Amino acid sequence: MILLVLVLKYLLLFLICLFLLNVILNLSPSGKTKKAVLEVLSSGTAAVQSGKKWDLGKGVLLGRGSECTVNLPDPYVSSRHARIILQDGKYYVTDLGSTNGTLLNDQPLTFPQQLHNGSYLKIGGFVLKALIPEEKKAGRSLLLPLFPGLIIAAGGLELYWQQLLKYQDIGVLMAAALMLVISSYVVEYRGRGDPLLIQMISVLSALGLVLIYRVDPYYGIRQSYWVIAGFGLYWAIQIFLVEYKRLLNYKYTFMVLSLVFLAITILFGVEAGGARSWLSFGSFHFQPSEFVKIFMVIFLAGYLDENKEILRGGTLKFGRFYFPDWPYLGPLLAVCGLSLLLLVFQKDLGMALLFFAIFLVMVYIATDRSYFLLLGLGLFSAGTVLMYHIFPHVQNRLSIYLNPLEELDAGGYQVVQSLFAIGGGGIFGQGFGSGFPTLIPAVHTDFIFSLMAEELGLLGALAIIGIYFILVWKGIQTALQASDDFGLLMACGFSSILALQTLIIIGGVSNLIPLTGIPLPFLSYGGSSFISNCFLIGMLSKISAEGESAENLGVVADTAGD
Amino acid sequence: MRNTVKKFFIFITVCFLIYAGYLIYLVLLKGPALSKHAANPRQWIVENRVMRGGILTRDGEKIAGSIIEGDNNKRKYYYPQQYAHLTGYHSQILGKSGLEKAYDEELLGLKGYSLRNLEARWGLVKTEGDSLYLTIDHQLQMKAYELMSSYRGAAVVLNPRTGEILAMVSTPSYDPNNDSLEKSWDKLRENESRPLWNRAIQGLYPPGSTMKIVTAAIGLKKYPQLQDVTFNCQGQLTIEGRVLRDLRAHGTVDLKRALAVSCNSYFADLGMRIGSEDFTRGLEAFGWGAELPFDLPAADIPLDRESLQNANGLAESSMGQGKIQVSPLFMAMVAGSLGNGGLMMTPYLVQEIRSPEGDLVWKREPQPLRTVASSEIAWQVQEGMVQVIRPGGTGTAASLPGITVAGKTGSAENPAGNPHAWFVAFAPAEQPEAAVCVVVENGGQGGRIAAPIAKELLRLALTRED
Repeated sequence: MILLVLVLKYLLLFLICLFLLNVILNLSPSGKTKKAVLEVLSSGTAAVQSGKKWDLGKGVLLGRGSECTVNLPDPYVSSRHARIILQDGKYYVTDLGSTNGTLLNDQPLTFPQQLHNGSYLKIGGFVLKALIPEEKKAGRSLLLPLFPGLIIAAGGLELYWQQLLKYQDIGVLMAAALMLVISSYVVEYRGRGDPLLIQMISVLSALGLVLIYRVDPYYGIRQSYWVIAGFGLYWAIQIFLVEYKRLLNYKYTFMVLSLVFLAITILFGVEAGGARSWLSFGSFHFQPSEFVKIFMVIFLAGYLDENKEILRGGTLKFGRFYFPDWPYLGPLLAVCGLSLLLLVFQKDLGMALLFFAIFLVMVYIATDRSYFLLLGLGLFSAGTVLMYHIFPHVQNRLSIYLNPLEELDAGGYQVVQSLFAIGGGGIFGQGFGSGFPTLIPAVHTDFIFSLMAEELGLLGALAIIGIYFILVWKGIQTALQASDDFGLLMACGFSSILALQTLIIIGGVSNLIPLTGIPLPFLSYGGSSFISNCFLIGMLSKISAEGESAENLGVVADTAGD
Repeated sequence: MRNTVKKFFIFITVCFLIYAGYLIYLVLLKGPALSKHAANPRQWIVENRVMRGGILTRDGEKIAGSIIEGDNNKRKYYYPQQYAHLTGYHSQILGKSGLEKAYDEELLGLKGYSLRNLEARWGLVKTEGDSLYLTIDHQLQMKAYELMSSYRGAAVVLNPRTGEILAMVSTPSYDPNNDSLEKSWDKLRENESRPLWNRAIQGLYPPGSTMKIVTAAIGLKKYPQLQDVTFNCQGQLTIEGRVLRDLRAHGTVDLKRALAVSCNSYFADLGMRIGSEDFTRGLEAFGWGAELPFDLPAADIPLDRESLQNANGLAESSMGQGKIQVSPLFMAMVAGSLGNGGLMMTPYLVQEIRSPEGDLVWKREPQPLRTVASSEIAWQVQEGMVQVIRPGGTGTAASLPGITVAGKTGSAENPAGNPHAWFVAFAPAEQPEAAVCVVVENGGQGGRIAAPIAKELLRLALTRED
């Protein structure tokens, strides 16, 4: 009996650790494939040593002429003898009407033929061997996409045993689980772009769903609908957005939309959890700033892509530093300043912090100029000091941060309970369903991490941090492989949203940094947050997919050239 | 641009690593303290699923136990005043203290990862915690409290050969039962005689003349022939311009006689002759300046080296005044160690932990703490201590018919008023079975106030059945 309970309690933790382990073992070494090369086996002249290698890249020309990459100085070789081209990730070799012909594996080459790994080319007195690495994504995982379903099943089993699972809810939970699993399988087998992006968020969503349902079935059911809607949006983006570059034309639309959203919230917003950042439609609450963060990234990526050269140089002089002229710097500062101001008015400090950090990161990456970073941090410090003196609740937050246990009655209750929860979890946790979520206010939204650490322990918490880290890493990798700078900047912006949101709220609930409320992506309860984050991952997938196909077509953005 | 992205990614990686490290620190290093924090409601939720184990004396008398009252467990203390400072209290509002705090996990049966613990943690069944069996002799403890209850002070009785605490009281005491404690909490805290304070282990007092047994032991180590040397006490001694007085001129005294009549001049002179270096080293050998390991949080005995650097400080310290401080528990250990051939045992209060079914979970083995003096020296000091009780000594009030008692009186001057009355003793001198230390705050002469209490405790301790 007790052993059965033991299994039920720790199955969830086991599954999450197993998933992470599986992901880590399957990671390809940072996406860098080995290069395809042509190696000289035996040489016709003394000028070329055997063993010399040429990089095939996107295709090369072979011949005696100096314009040929693969230069073969041999009288029996024609000046433009043969060509190797890359198409759909495969190399093809063609004879260019040479005098003495080309032999592929001792057969005369009469029409373009595929060059396989280990094929021999005989040209004049040369014997060349092609070394072509195996194609990427060789092994597809049958198991990985199944994990979200397993997690929901394991959680459901334990909740059923504790008599917390209502029969009428099983259908909805199963629908959500099905959505997650099917999405993961489709991406793994048919999709383009990095499948790990969607698999990671599926597992996070599944775990979030189980934890939220465990706190309150009412929210759990609502979250199931959000999961289905969010993944629906993901697929809508994959299907209907033909090319992400088209968004470039609408960048100012996104800007205006952002400011309008924020302004509306100021005018008609209602207060919840201390921040006035919600629009209310009956029982349905909508948080515009969650979408503004995405729009902002798209606008910034477009604007910075267009003006990055000008922003790098500078004519405006402040002391020893040169800054770009007002017409270029102005709009950027105005938009950023305005949106920050609006957020501060809403008392949504976590979101304000996130916006500011994303703005800084994107400007820094677009311009490569670290003084923007220094300037930003200076402004941030000044802003913090200013806010500290203006808002009493900022002072309160700081004193709670410095001495949470002594400020127990002065607003420190939430953080202290969160610390008790995390500290009480130990290495393996209390077991799923055995923590005390009712002791922490807002546990299903901002404080979901504390509950997780209490029930799944240090091990679970570290696994979740690991999953977020891999998610961010995949985002950054997407940025590096993007086919253009707009995509790169957008992917960077989205990855920073994921990274910073995770760091801000996990740091906040564990009192590593002062607490500023913000949802933990995909884990916390919240429709606006979940759907906007799905939108974000949808865009990342799109950028990843287009970057991948661009690479295959051989037009990888070396054009960025820096 | 791509290089900047990589730089940014390195920054993010470092952040995630710091977070992982911080979480490990938070859970592994801070976690246990957070779990036990008084404001943490989790422990009380878990606690309500467990019948907290009982606390019993060595002879099986139950002094604390859990009773079920409605949905809640209630802690009941059967001899509240007598054992308050040992058991401590256990309140959702005020937290825990004493053994309730020190042995919390054992009493809840939550120590370790056994299946029984998991059941309790998950609330599957209402389990029962382990019980503590103390070294305390119930009758002796009751008697000690009765004798001390009209004074402010402390009494400790221990077995010098094992370190078992046979009785330990601190007065005034309080009622740890929640109904009474929570109501009178503010009054108890404001009370000037501090009833919540465990004087026996937390109180630090100047030892007065009881210190002379330590000075004698240190002197014997430096001068093995000390017993044969005599000193002429003229009733006062002038040290660097300060005059140190005795009650009267004792005339020619040797070590035994000096102990028996508690001659200040003799020991002041001896202390100065020992010198600051050897005196400091001697004190360290007894345990001054070292940790005092005990089941309850006992005050460590401080050692003020600075004050031993001049002649006046040395003279004062060697007769137990000045900056020298001890706790009653420690002084009982000192007296006991001289009776035990110079071997000081680690004191302990909990001798066994038993499961609800009565099975032995854990048993304590006596452990030596340190050697304070050679057996030869201990024997010589003991001879002097026997003279204290004999006619003509200062501690005749502690003599027991047919049993040789070794003791030493003390009257410690202090700024709070009358001197603190001290008496330390052990018996039978040849093969001690009990050592006792009695302190009565502002009680006056140790020989008059403290010695009779010590005598009663020794008599009862030696006749106990075990």
